[in-house]
Amino acid sequence: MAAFKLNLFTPKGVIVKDLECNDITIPTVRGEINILPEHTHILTELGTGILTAKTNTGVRHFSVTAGLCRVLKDTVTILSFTSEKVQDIDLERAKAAKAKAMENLSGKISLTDVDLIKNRRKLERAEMRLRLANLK
Amino acid sequence: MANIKELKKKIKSTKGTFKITKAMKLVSAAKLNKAQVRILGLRPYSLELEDTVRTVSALAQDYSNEYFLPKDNNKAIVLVISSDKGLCGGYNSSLAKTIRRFTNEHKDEDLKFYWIGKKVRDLIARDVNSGKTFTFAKQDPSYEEVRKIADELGSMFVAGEVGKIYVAYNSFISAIAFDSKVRQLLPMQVSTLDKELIKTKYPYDFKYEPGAEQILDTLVPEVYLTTVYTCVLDAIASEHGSRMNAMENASKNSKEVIKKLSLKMNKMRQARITTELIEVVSGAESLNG
Repeated sequence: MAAFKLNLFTPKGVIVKDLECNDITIPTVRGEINILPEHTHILTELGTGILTAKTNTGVRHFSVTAGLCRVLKDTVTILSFTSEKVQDIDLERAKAAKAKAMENLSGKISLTDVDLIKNRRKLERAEMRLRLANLK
Repeated sequence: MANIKELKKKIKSTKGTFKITKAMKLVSAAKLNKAQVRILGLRPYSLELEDTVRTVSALAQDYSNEYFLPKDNNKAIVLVISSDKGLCGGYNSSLAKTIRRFTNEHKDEDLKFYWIGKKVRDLIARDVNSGKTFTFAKQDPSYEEVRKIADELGSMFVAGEVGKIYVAYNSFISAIAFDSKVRQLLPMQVSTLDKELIKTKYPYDFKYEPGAEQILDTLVPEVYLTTVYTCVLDAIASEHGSRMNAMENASKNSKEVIKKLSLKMNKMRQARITTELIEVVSGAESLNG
């Protein structure tokens, strides 16, 4: 099966470049999509979640948050606001972030709409990181 | 002959300068390293993002966003990104020169200058319509701080207070080279030629999820912001690169000066010793005679 390439860029740096993959699962705003070789050209908004890439040497996981995904010919380009490799995840920090967000959302303090959304997103990200850490 | 002492003093002070320039060079090298990692990390992201927006806006029929629409307004803002500190070679003067040339070429526009970093402002503020100066909590601006600036300028553009926004900065090429340039930020432009080119390059359209317009609506402000941030990081990296070079040259020069002065001093000292010896010898000779 013909392989295709994955590029994952963030403003903080290049996470992976030209990684040869056979199969990628990408979280988008409308649910997960699966990309196989010879996929049609698509352009979609990323959601928060775990990106799974199957390569010849094994499976790799990355976290992604809001951003953009472009599938063009044999290249998948992901532009994410933040992204981490599994080994870079700070488990303690994610746990702390989850606890903090949960507490903020528990309703003890009143939140503005903006803060509510912010905290929900924080919770989502923390949970995603914890899930990702378990995939190690 | 009395100036052996003076020479000694000069050598000592040059040695002091040498130490300082050497230390500054090392500091700049370390900072450059950091800045370089940041800008080189950001570049692929920003290039891809820009490319995507160009492509999509060319392919999507009749899409327009407020960031694309030209405004019927003669006013324009130029955001000048320079440094707060001097001693960095031609960094600020070359930018000032570029801006002067730009002002001459755009006499028909009512330019107003906003500043990041005060060096270029000090150089040309007298000659231009000077506006606000942005400052940061730390020396290097954070992403959040850059976003605030970008938002402020962006909202002025969207509200129609200004018709164009430019940014003037030094773009980082390598540790020893930078390029001073003025670039138009808003309105974003995709020329018809580019559009045709993109259309021939991609004879098929993308499948958009959710929709092309929604994607562009979120992307366009992101591109604008990323572009500003790239400019700032570019400027920082080239500042450190430029300073490193300036300091390297200064160190080299002071080394040379020290060498020359030492040689001169040694020659003088030798001459004095010789004269003294001759005096002693001839004195002894005359006593003997």
